[in-house]
Amino acid sequence: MDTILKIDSLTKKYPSLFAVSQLSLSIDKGSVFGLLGPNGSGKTTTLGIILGVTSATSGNFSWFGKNNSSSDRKKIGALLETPNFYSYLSAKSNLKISAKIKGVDYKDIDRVAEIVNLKDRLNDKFKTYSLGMKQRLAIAAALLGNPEVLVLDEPTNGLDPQGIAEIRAVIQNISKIGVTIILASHALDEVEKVCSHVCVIKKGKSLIQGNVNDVLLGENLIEVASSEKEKLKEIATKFSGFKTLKEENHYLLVTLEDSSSSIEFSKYLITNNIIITHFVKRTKSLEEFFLETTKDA
Amino acid sequence: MLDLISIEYIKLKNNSSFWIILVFYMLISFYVVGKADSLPEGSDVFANPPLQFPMIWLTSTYCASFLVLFPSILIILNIGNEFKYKTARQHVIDGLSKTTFILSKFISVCIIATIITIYIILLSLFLGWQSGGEVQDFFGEQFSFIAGFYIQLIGVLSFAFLISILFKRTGISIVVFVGYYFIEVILYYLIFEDSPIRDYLPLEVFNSLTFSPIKDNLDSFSGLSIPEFKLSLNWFSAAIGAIYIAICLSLSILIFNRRDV
Repeated sequence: MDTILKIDSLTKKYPSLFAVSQLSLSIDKGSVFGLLGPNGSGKTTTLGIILGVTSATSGNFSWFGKNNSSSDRKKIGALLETPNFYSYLSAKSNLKISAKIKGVDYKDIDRVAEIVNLKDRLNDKFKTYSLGMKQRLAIAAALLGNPEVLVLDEPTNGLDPQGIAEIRAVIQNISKIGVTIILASHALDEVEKVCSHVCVIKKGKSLIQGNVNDVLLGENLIEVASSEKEKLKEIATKFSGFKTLKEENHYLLVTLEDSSSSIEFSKYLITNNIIITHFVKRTKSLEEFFLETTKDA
Repeated sequence: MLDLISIEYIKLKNNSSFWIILVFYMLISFYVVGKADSLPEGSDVFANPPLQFPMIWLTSTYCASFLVLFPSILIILNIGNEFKYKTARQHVIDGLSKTTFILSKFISVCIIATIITIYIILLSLFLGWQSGGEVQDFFGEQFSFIAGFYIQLIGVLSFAFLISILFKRTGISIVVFVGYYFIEVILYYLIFEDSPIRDYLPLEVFNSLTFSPIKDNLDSFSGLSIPEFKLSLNWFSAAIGAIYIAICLSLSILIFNRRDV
């Protein structure tokens, strides 16, 4: 698979701290990559470096497998931190400026305005926009010229629930057409809902990264309970894909091999005449996971 | 290049403070230049009627050069906006190199200087035509002061440009810009009093590119005979001015490239 972005031991040192420390990652074409971390973990600094506005202390990055040049960024649509527009200009004039910089025809303005649902307000001045509209306009600007990559830094920050839902829908629709998306967020559910890959960072260091499902559902956990607890224990340990067992409250917490399915396990118990009173496949929630990983890093 | 010009054009065209300051500058300079001959009543401070061709070129550029603070503030506001709205950052994110960004902003300097210079030419033609008198020479050597004025304008604006790139915030930039005028006066009259260096101080160089039409001043100008004098721009000063412009632009590029935006 094509690599869109490769980051190698990226470090940014400020006088008093390391904002980014030895960060390495690789992002494949077509993925929705979540950069997840609490506030101040170095997400924006990392994006600032790969977008050319912040200089790295050491380390490298490369877009599209090439040496970096500023014109590569014309193929990237980016929203970094805040929507940056001239408040005295209309939304349309602001988009014209972005289009000119990226070398995109003005015709594309109506298309991107349509996507973010701002077509009717294009001629209004940017300063009359609500926060949600400003954010949507920034996404529209990022979409100009059908970029191969979209970099979105906290795109739903400060929005009301409806605004958040709208932005997420936009992101999901864009990812369906094969655009690679890099999404920085401190909101766990956001990453869980829209990302295919994730890198969790804390204090500028990568704690864990990989496929969202691998990272989040690392363990195949099943809660199971029966009136005959001892018999259940005995039978369960004999299951072919059995890994570990733990007693927790009124049920047993069974860990299975990655390869074995919960359905097989439940069938196996039934054929062994166990009467199941409780059977839940437990997905470790991202929140639980997130707090766990970032707690003492 | 054309794209960069149209980007700056969009930003300026819709900026009301740009139009207000520009129109204000135009009205004031029209008034000041138009009143140039009425100030010293009945005296002979002027070698030639200051509003007649070709003296008008000296008069208009000299008077207009006193009002250079207005376009300088325009530039400081214009650059300050890029930092205030974080659009400098966005332009780099969108794919301009930092150097190209500075060059695109320098286009604003050139656009503003060009508009004003064209306006001063039209104003001079109008006032010169109105003042009547026998015209032997519409333009003459004196027309070269339009070139001097243009270089002076770009020069002072480049200096305002450098300051606003350096300080980012509009208020601070204006204070530093005006403050430098006082600093240079101190340098000129106190520090470098007996030194030829003082003639090469940046604002002094730019000032020397326009010339007062007053007789005493002309007399002292290396033995020119006044009635039929041929006075033209000091091209050496113009070259020094151009060097200062290059320095301001290069420093702006250097500073902006070294900084995280």
